[in-house]
Amino acid sequence: MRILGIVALALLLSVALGAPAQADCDIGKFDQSAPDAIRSKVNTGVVQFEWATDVDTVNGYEWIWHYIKNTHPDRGLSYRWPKADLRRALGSPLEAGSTDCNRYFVAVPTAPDGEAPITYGTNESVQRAAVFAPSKNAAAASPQPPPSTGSIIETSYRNAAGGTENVRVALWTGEEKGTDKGWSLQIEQTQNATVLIANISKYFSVEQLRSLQSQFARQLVSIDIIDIRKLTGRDDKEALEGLYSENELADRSGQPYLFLPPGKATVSLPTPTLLPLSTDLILVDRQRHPFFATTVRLLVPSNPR
Amino acid sequence: MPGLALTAVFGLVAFVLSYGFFVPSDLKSLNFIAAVASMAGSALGKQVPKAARRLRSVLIFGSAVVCVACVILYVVYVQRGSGDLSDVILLAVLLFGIFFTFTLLMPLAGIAIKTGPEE
Repeated sequence: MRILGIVALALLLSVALGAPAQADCDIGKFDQSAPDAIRSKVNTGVVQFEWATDVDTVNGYEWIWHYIKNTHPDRGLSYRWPKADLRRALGSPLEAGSTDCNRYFVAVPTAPDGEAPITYGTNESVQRAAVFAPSKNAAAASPQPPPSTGSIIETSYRNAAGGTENVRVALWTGEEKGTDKGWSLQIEQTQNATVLIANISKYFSVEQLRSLQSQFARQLVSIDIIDIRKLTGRDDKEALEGLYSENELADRSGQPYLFLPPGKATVSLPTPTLLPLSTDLILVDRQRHPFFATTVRLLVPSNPR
Repeated sequence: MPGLALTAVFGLVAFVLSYGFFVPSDLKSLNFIAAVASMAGSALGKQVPKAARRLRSVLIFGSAVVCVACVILYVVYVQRGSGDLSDVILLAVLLFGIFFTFTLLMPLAGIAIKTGPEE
């Protein structure tokens, strides 16, 4: 019963936003409610893409959506859209006709931010763009963490055989109410990618980490705390250089990552209070090559130190 | 050993010079390609002056054309590339071509750096 709430929420949102596990990002469900989406197209001949940002109300939840669609018929696209938390490395481009999208729900009012440029291509050209984001004033006025968080990421990569593989990751964290106050997490991801979540491990005690490992193991998901070198054989700077700028890489040196192999699992821990956390989520393909990075908003246990 | 040291100097100078080209920030490792290309070009160039005069003339002309073509193509493609894998490979090949042919041309054109005592 203790994790019933978060499972119910996850199921509800899965159905509401439902995309088949292996489908590309379905932008047909974009812009279902007010406000109108902000969108634009870029066409330089060699580079053709469409970007959009929106806030939609789905089953009472305000979801912020961003997507970028490569509309070129046969050329891949590398880009960085930091304020939308979407990034593609040079050499691991968004395939022709594919779409990268992410969405997360917020418990505070939102506002458009008109300073959210997209950097793309080998010339690092800059396209003016905007994103919907939690309103800064509202976020400052509401210091309490939200009761739950949810993020869905849909992207793709080119596999060793030259085919395109669609990847979908859905992640929910929430507060357990009732006599056993606690924290719960649910993750669901396709079988073709591994998830790395940065810096989350420091919020768990050794006992909590052991408990998490055994709960994940019971659901056939073998988690670990690792550094990038252990996974990719290359140091942080080398492995992540296409995904972050040099300044951003300097801040990310030596980060520990929660390693989540493909699968579906729900875990929980008793904890009196929760903290909101915004951290990197990196997707790694079957060849152990990081190909996509975003930021996820999570709740984590607040342990007395 | 002096020959090896000179090759290494060519590599180092090329590595520094490659920063004069616009290289996408994701692809800083391409600067090492410039160094390797220069070392290969200078090592090969030192062997060519022994070749026949006619072959030398052909090589000078060919290398000069390829070098200029690589520079032009690099400048054009780096501005146009969408970041596709083929763009990355093409830029790497062009950068290699620029520095390889340039350092190959130097001894062919009679530009020599003496490393030992005069004979």
